[in-house]
Amino acid sequence: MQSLTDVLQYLPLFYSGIGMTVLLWLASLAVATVLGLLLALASWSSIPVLSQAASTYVLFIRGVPILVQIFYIYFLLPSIGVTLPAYWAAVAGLGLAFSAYMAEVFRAGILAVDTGQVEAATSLAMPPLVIARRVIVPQAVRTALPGYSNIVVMMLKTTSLASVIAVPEMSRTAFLLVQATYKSIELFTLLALLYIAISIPLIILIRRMERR
Amino acid sequence: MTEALFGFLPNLLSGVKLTIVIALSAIALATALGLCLEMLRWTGFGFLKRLNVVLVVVLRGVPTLVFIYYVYFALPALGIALSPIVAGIIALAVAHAPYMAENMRLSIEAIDRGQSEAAVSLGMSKALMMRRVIIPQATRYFMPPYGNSIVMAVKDSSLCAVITVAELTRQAQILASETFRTMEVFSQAALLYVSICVPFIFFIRYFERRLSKEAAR
Repeated sequence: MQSLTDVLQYLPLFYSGIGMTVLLWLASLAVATVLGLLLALASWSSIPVLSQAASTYVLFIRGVPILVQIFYIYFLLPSIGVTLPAYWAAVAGLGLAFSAYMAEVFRAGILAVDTGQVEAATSLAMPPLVIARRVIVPQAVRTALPGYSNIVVMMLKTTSLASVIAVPEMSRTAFLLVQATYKSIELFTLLALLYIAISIPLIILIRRMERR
Repeated sequence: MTEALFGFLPNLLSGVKLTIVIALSAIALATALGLCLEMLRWTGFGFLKRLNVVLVVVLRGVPTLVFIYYVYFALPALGIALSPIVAGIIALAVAHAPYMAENMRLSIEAIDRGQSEAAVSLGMSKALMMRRVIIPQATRYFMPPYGNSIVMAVKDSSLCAVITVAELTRQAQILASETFRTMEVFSQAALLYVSICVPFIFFIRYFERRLSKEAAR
């Protein structure tokens, strides 16, 4: 029990880091969701240039480590005149990286919609955008939801990568505190517990949805 | 132009070797750990089954980077000091183990119930049934996600750069800070990562195609 209080006494120092992690998570989640949806629709569309471009983008992004993508955005953009603060570079890096995974999940959801549905909508003379909005998306959401929430959990964990470009989120806080106090076990245990505490409700939610 | 495209490749290649070594050893270890996790579920004890669920949920909740920090910076405080490479491999393996276990569970659950019922009615023991009936069939379903795990491990190995393992990303960082040619160096590193992953992506596609062919039959 002694050790538990040892661990918990550092909790107040983590408050701002927790806030930053959650902010990063939600912002990059928004970017990834919107971009992923656009990518999925692009690869589903019948315009060859669009679908080809989308699938090439997805293949490439999925082949490159997210850490490298974050470095790329943070260290490279300044050389073409765009300087992003570390936080926004991390949001952009995480958002772009996960948009590819999102696109795959959404695409699987779209493909699971029966083609008869699309044919029926077409024969009712619905324009493609209306078909996407009214017929495909509402049905695709149900199939894509488990995969989507899995990625949401993955994204929470991946925000830890922002620490390497000095975004002051939870991992960065822990790392700096360890250097100051040498309490590596206590601090990293607390860090792990914090991530688990944030993600466990989500993981349980996913299990519920999968069972359905 | 050719320098911009290929100039740093010779310097990056030693990093590629280490990246592959780390990724493959981590996957081998993760497979073993994942199998141990999954086997907890096969036993008759409810306690062990629950342990499997708890471990999978808890391990999946912790970022890979935190595992790496933990193994490299926290374990020495307990008297276990590991070299950066070994620490990286162990951390990656622990981070991947729950995913392995989940993939094994899903591929076993994909097999028709009738198979295990038939095996039981023939009087096979549980171990024999697993070895002769379930596992050989589950392997087919397991291969595509396994390839995926390998690709993920190749990319996750980049995290070892933060504990000074001289793999591809670390080499790129060093080169970039020496030459200030950040754009070229990281573009080439990205290209190298893609080319390491491509064979495994084909591996996944091959097994996926085989599965869908079987399903069509």
